[in-house]
Amino acid sequence: MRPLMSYFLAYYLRSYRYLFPVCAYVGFILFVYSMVPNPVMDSYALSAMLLFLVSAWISYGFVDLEHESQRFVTAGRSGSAARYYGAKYLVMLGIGASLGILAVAYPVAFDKFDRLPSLGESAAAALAHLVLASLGITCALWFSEKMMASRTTAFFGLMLVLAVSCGGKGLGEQLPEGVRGVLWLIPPVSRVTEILFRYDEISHAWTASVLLLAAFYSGILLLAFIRVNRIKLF
Amino acid sequence: MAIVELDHIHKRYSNEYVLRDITLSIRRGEITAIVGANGSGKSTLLRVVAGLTAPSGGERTLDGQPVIAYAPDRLPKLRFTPREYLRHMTNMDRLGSSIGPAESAEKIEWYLERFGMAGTGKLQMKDFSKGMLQKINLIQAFLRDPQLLVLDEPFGGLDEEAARLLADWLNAAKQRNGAVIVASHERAWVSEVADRIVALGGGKIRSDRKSMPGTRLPNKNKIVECLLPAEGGGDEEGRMDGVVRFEANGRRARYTVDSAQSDRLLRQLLEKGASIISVQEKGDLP
Repeated sequence: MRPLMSYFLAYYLRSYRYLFPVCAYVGFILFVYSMVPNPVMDSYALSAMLLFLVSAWISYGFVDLEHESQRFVTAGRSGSAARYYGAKYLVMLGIGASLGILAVAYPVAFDKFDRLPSLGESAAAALAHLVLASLGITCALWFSEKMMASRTTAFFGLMLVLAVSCGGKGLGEQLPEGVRGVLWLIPPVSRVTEILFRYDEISHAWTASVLLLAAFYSGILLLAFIRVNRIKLF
Repeated sequence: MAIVELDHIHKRYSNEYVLRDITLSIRRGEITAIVGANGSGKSTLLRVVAGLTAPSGGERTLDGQPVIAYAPDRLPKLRFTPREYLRHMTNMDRLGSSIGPAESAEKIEWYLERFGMAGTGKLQMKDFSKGMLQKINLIQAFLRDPQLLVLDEPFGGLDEEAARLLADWLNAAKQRNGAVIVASHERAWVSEVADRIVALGGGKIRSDRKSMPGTRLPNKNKIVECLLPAEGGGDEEGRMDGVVRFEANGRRARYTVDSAQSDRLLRQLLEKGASIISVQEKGDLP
């Protein structure tokens, strides 16, 4: 899969479509930490949530980037829809993970926090950034051209999903008790940010469970997307 | 022996059928040409053959796991130099094969030189002409050393010399017992290389006949317009050998037919009671 990933990455980098989302995220990090000191886990929760949005932006611009006729050439060589889309996902995850590392390491390296984060806090923050990057990517896959012919519907649909995902907790408080179970169906972004906000109050087991839930959710979205495209082909 | 078998294939986009009930065998050691008007379903058929588009109905069967190379009707203007692009493509091909990067690079150079593209240097494909892009497109397909070569309008944009070279390579692929399927409007080149010509119209196979490769036929069709008898008919003539296109609007019908077969078509139409409106010569295949 490496040659496929290397090709996709080169194609993406030469399209310059990465510039806006990457600059927006880096700019945000620099801006947030331009004032010191900052609370550790609250800052990480904010940068993780923004990474979710930026990863969705990257994915939305990346997954349909390849020109249709070239897509057939690449797809023919990739051997399967799973390998083709799997390679695209991994490239996007690589970009998201790089931004996540920047978000976690930058404030530590440049002394932007009110205290030094513990190893556990750093690990939880890094994993939260990674799973939210993955979640942003896999949510946006479902709004690609192959899945939704109308670009307007796709764009507004994605915006809605992103908004509901980020505001899931607040939305839950507005819902009647009996239907709050439906919140488990929306991408668990607010659950992940909550474990960062309340890192000191909750157990490590619960933190790990929520991170696993988000990873599992993202995995299901990816596998279902690949499964649909294995039937539809390219 | 067939390398790909299509059995009653249908393809539908939204509610519109692009291919209807296509049954076709693509055989080794044979060059099959698909001809037909724009929108007749040629490109979709090629992608179904190559396994890139899933049919809505019917079955596609492969003989083993042949290496299939596909060249679309045009490559986009990519931000790669030809060498970068072809290296990316061959790197994907080398997965699981014993060919090393040096050997791949040699093959790339060989093809670039043959097509007169070795001197493009750092020029990116975004600055290429249609013909130059087409050469790179064909090279990427040939670099796979395929057992089945699927080419959509391969002669489009090529100069005479490059088209001749392509015809030689297609024949060489056939000699190696490979299967080749091309969709083309270039009647002269189709006649030159094809062992078999399949005419599509309205998503259906209108005719499937053997050809005499190496004999470049005159680049002409005839268009026969007529008024069909009041009791209907005319579909049967639309499926006659040599008829590459048939359109009907009420009683008025229009047949595009090989010049060599036009007298037979006219005779049959007159015997059916049709009234001939006009007979015209046409330059290219529809």
